[in-house]
Amino acid sequence: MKITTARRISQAFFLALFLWFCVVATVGERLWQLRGWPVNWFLELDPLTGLTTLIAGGSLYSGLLWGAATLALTLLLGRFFCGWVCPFGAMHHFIGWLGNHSKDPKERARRNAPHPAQQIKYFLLAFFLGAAASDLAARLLLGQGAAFAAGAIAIALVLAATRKGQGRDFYFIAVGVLLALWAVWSMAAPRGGASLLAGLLDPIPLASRSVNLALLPLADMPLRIAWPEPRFYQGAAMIGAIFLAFLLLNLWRPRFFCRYVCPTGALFGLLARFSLYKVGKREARCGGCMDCEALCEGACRPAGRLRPQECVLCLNCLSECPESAITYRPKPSAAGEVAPDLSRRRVLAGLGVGLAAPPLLGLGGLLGPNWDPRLIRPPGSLPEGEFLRRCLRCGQCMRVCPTGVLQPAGPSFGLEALWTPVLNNTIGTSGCQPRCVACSHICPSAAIRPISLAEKLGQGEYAAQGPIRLGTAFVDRGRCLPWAMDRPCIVCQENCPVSPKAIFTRVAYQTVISGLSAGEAGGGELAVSGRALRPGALATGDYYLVAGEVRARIRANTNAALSLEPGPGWHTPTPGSPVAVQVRLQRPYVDPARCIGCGICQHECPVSGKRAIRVSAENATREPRHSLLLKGAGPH
Amino acid sequence: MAPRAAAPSRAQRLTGLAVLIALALVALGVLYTQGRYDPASWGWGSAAPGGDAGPLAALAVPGLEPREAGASFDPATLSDKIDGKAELYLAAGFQRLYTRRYALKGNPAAWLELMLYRMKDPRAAFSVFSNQRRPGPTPPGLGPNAYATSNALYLADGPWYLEAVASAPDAGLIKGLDAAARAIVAALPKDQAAAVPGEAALFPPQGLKPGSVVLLAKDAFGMAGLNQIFIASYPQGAPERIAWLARRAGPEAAEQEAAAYARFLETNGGRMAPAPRAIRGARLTELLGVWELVWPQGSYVAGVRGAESQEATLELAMRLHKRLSEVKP
Ligand code: SF4
Ligand code: SF4
Repeated sequence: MKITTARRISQAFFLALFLWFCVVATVGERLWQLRGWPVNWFLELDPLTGLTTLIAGGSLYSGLLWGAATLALTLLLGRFFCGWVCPFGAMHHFIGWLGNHSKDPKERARRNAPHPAQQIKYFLLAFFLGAAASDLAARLLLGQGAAFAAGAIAIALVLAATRKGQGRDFYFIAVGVLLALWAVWSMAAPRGGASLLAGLLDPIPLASRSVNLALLPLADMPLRIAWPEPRFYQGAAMIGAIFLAFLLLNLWRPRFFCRYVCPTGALFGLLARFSLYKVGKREARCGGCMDCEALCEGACRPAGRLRPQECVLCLNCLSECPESAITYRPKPSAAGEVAPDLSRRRVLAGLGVGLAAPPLLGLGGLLGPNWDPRLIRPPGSLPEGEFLRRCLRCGQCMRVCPTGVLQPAGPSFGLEALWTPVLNNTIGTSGCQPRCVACSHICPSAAIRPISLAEKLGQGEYAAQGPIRLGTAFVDRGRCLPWAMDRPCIVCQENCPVSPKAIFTRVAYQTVISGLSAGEAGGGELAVSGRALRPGALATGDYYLVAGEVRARIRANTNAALSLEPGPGWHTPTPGSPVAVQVRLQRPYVDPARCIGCGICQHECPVSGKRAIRVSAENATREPRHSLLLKGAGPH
Repeated sequence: MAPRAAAPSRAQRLTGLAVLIALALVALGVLYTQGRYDPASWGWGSAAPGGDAGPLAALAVPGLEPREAGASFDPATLSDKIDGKAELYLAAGFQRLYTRRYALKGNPAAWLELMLYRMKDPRAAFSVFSNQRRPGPTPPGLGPNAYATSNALYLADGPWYLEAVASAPDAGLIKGLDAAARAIVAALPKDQAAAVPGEAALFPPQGLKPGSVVLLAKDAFGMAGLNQIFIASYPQGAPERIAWLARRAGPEAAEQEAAAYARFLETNGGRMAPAPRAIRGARLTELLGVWELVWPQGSYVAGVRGAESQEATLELAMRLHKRLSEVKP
């Protein structure tokens, strides 16, 4: 078997496994449901997810240790992950092949020639590491030395990878000044300064998000395997379009994303430069057929001086060389190697922009006075600052949520929150189910920490702290039927799942038809005049005839008579005396001490556009400073 | 012609083989992992502490799987669960409510909730059952006190009253409701007779609207203290005629209650009229043009309300009077 055949089998295997994990992330015990499938495994294998959460969050969630194994293997073998494991890479590879295999070999070689734009991914890596690391000094201040060391390693990695040479002194001065500035800033503005932006372009979160939130809902529409009902995700078009664009760009340049964009590939590239095993030429000279260049996925010029950091180990060159001049062995290429084509200035700029990004984004005040009450996070979510340092934007929680209430935050929430999970109580099949904690257990980075049902419900050992609140419901009196329109409705109160209910009602009688006069009584009815009534309109049981101080419930009505059910104290009004029709309303009020912000009321509210009762993140447990209540205050 | 690639070397072939073995190991590892899981970690299939589903705890229903361990409510917490309707249950003699959710096997989104009420006696169970009766057919084999709607099934069996409500009017769930009801009826202790309480059989059958017998537990017709009243509908024109009756401790109590009810009608705007002689102790009242007759008969107090004419009122009253005179007070 050719080595490339083995590689194709491996790619197909991991791609199928990845897609399978996306399909089975449905809560349930059938073989095609969640069971114990390690649906986060690819996210865990991706070392950038682990590295950035470690730097930004200051701790490594156990599963993410797989990334360390990937890095270790990369040091041994080179970028094996890109060429053999990465499911997103496999998609690029396949589409690139589709678009290019029929082209003339010269044209293919031209498309596979190294290009300065390949530096962009290093710039992006530096940017994402910078954004993750900008809080490190503050962490050091707080004694979290391990996290600081990790940050220092990240920076050292970038520095080590950049070209040595001219301008050395200037370069070190620049780095020194930058680090000093950063340290001073971090100490002056401790905490809250890091952001895990890497998930925007990190390939596994990107692919997971795109398949989970765009591809799968589309494919599942007719099949209904993943969800019993069609699934909707806000902004899925943008997520899908970005995914599609990256795939289609392979028609122009094979492995476009891997060559120019992928920050994880850049991280691998930095290590692959020093890997033990490398692709290379046995001798400096070869037949010069350039077949290898026409097939090279990494644009690393195998026929000339090779760029090991760009090599994705597709091994096409090795397998197809008619002279068997290409080898894979623990020796550098006989034809020589070219170090990463990195401009220090650009990498530094990337790092600098990255370091500056969180404080810049922070100027929007999202973590401070301008916090966004629409950011209702899933149960178990860390406080917002920590959450943003950990959320990979992989979409796993949104995929697994049985009700579909978890949605990717759109651009209106800001770049720092883009595609992180928020509750949208309108779009799914319900609000957050009180007896579900699925998202907290699937989250690969513990941005939503794993919680038990007892903790969510505030039972057992959690009884003293009470249930987890996601926010609080507010009645919009301008839209609520009994408040604004004198129409009876207690849907929200009926649906509130907490016990005792968080919504209570107060009865109010509102005059809806006045200017009537009583007529003769007979046959259980009272004739009325002064205005024609719509027959049957008052027969719902909510309407009352009021005569002076007393009321009788209206059972039925014609246009000029009411069938009545008199209550105690009733006396039939004398003919000619004024009477009116009142509606009995139960107006909803929310008790903030009981509301858990599950959003079920909002979901069920019959005002189906902008709901008349809406949850916002006020009073959420995870942010004590957004509390509405003073401890112990209130009548209950 | 393009030069041909050389045949794969031994090293290539061996590496290829090693990769295939590695993939097989990964596949095995994944398969092994998928079988080891704890459903409790998703929050489904596990109990929150404090759950006590009583007779539902061990209830297995073919085709359904429990989605939770269930819970129970006592008179103090009943309103937490059913809020607005709690008063009705409490007045009738509520003791405990057991609830548990089930879902169709393999489809957690298709669920149903069983709410099993333990009432103080079969009368109380019949009271809540009859008071909330909605139009719907009786599922065969579940006894006279059962009916189904498009997404729910209700039944009274001895001191138990069951409400089984599905999340959607889906054929699979309807079958599930039926299976759950049968499983419950089979599992419940048969310590008290399941029959409809005796008074229900006293209404004259002719013209009786099927399924219209209701036991009003408390404050019937808006009169405080008028409790444990059976009513039945006799549709004939509108408003519908209602016959009602209740058994009291003895003739004296029955007489006092008949008098109190007549007084209540009077304070609510009713006008007394001369009563027919044919029924001893009867009192006739007119309110908004409809007639009400109430009388004591042995230990019973009985009445007819809602008819527009004295004749129609008397006609039904005579028939009820006759039925009552046939039973030993
Ligand atoms: S806990 Fe709530 S938000 Fe999370 S998956 Fe379950 S229903 Fe969705
Ligand atoms: S959001 Fe609050 S008020 Fe609304 S249903 Fe949930 S707990 Fe009840």
